[in-house]
Amino acid sequence: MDTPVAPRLTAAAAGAPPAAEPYLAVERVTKRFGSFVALDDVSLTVGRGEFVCFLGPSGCGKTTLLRAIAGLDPQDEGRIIQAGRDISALPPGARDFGIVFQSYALFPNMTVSANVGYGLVSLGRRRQEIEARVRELLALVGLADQARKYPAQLSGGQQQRVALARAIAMDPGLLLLDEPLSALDALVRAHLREEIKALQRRLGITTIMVTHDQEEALSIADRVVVMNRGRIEQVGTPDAVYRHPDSLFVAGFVGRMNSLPGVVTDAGAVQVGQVRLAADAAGGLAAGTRVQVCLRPEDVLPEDALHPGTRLGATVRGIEYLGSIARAALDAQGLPLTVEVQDTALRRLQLRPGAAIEVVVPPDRVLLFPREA
Amino acid sequence: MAVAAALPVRRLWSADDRLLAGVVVLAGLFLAVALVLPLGSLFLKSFEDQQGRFVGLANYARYIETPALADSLWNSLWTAGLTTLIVVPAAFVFAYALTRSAMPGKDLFRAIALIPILAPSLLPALALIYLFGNQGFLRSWLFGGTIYGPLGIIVSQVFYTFPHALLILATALSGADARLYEAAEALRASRIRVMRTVTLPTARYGMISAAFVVFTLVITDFGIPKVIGGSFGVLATEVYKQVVGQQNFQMGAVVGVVLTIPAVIAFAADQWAQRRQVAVVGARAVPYIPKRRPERDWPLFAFCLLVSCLMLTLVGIAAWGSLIKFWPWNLSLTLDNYAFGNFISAGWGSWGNSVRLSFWTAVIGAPLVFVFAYAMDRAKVLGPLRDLVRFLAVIPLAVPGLVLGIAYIFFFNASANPLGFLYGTLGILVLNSIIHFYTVGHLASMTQLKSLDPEFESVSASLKVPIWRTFAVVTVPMSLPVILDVAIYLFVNAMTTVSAVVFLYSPDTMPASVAVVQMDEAGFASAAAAMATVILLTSAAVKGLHVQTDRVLSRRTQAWRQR
Repeated sequence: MDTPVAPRLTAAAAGAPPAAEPYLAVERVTKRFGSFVALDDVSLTVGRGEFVCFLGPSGCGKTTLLRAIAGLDPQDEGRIIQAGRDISALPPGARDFGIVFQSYALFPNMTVSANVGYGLVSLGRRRQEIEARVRELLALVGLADQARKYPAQLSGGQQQRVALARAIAMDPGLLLLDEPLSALDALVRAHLREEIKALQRRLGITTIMVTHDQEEALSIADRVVVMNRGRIEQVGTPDAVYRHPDSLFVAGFVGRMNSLPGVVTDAGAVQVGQVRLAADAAGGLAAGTRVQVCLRPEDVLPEDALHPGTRLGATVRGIEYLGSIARAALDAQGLPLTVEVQDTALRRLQLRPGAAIEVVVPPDRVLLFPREA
Repeated sequence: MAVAAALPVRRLWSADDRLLAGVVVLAGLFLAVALVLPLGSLFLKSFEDQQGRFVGLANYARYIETPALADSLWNSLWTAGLTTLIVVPAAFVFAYALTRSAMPGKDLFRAIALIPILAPSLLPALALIYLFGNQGFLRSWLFGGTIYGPLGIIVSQVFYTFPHALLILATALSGADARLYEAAEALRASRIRVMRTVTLPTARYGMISAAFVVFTLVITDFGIPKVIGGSFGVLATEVYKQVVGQQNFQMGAVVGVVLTIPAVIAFAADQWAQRRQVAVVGARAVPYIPKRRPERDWPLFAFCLLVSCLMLTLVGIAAWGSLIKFWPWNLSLTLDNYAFGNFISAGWGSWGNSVRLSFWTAVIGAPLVFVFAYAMDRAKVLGPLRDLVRFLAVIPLAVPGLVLGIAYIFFFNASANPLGFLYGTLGILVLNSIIHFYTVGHLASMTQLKSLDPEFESVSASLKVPIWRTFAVVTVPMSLPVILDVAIYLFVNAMTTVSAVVFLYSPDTMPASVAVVQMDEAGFASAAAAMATVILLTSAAVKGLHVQTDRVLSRRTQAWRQR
């Protein structure tokens, strides 16, 4: 993955078609609320058994797309095909999905087991059969001993698991999760994230999760769909989206980024302020092209002799200490750069405000995005 | 991937959609037949002559030219205005004492102040007549003036409308954010400045709302001016005179339309004020808990004590008067006045009629209102029709009871109406009462439905559970306390109302509240007071039963609320 490639050209590689056969296809879907275009001609395929995250800032259309797939707020135009069946016009009840909402929407006047078995009762299954299935589901989410309690008596994380058990009770072909973790504490959230992923692997159920938390999306998804203003900006594996963002928006939204305006000087370099930076990505661009130069904070290497690249003298302006890592704000020959270093490196390098260091910018890590005049 | 052209999607209706759409259509038909068409026929009638020919504005011209009628409009407006000016500040102080002070006896004061809601509006008027009327023993206090007229009307209206204003203002004041007061204190604002910059602005729209509600109540009330108005004519009594006295239905229709105008203006203004009120307190507000401050608490206590004593005195006088042999000459106690058969042919039967009327209004009305509200709120299809029906559901609040009553005469008594068989039955009284008090129940149901997670229905759809099942096992059990509240509200109002039913009863279905008016008119003031007392006791008993039921209910079926 360290091979130097121009980001623009990686789109095909990073957005590679899903490994498995497509289970869900969204084709040219548009949704308007009055004059506001919530989804603008969106197309996407999801493979069978895949875990996909819709990631984006609020108002980007990720929840709208999820609700269109569920049939709760159907799209105005375009088709949605699930398991070879065009479900575009079907009401939610005629589609095949289980859903977990941010609020969980557990029935407060029913016990945990009544909540989980709610759909099964309507199917007219026999009582013992339902009870056995509910027990099995509760064991699956680790709540076997909470069956007789009411939702209000459970913690947020437990309620979330009940909602999950209820959503998979009917063996749906598709599991939809609408910001299921955002109402929880950070620690519970990280823990449940792993559990959801493990459960999804075990059941092999095709899953779509909506989130605005990039860390959550990167950690849980097989593929991440980054959305902005009703459009899909990029589809790719978490590492592809992080390392090879297709657009300036993705570069800025996923992870942290040093972003500076520059101009391509000749093959292999850009001019940023007073500094000339070697950049492999400049190879494909004509001299004089105005670009936005992007650098991950961890790709700016302090006091590094091993990697080739542009060497810059820098002064430490300030340090933000975060425990295992620290971020240092640098003035590198006039360029404001943020570097991220491990705590061990921080101690070794004795970084403190006012210290002078040398940093290396490897040419293969410099990302370039065309900039409009 | 072969990408097809983006085709517009026409969504198919699910069984749930069809069901909700059906209920919305049903609600629309119900409101059309029971509200829109009657009001329409009233409106048309005001442009017709006795023979049913269209005469344009001739009736309105005659209305303006008739001094008695034109005066009644002015009389209505100024008595309503003056009552509002007295009630709103008084109710504000009372509400402030209940919500923002640490005085003792708050619950008792609140209960006493709400008593008038349980009684027919004319009960205070009857009490005033005992005290200051032609045979009143405090008559000399009036220095030759008379209680029959604006004075009696205004005092009685103040008593009758006080709890309505109090409820609105107490709600507005209870939504206080303690953080604002802490901030004001930290910034060293004086108490007066805090009152002016924090307290009053939060209650501003509550005061506007209370003012319009009081104004509307007074202008549309019929019982009080009928009993104590004497020769002082107001719109409400003029309508009655025109329709029942002179059988002049066209002029009755005109006065009805005129009576509706101030009510509609007040209604529109109130809606505006309520929309503003919403944003005052955010969901993250910290509730304000008043601390003891004797120099504030004891004066407020004295005020509440005074108001409560006046309330209890008026109710007590009416009740006591009903037990007196021959006011004011023979003050020995008797139950003779409760032998209603001696004063009016319907006798105790009118009480039975009222109980039946109230029972059916509550038992049919509350579920109907709730189911309709549910469909109006949750239906995803039939958008424009649904919005229209929602609008119709709030109209009854703006329609004075008298106007609705006359409108029903015109509509259901028309020879061509297939629903004419309802005329003169208990059925038309029940239908009329449900519509008359529809809006408050509708708004309460809507508020309850909005408080439930909107995704309950989405979840059940994903689990392939039909919506009626989720409605039955989730929505209704969770909303039971509210549905019960609505039922009790309908019961008490059907029990005490006079204005609409006074045009619609037949000798067999005369309700107790109308019997009070009839007996008072026939000179049996003590019997009238006795019947008014019976009505008050019935409403109070039902309300007491409600409080008990609510307690049991919350223990049995609302176990899930406990953590």
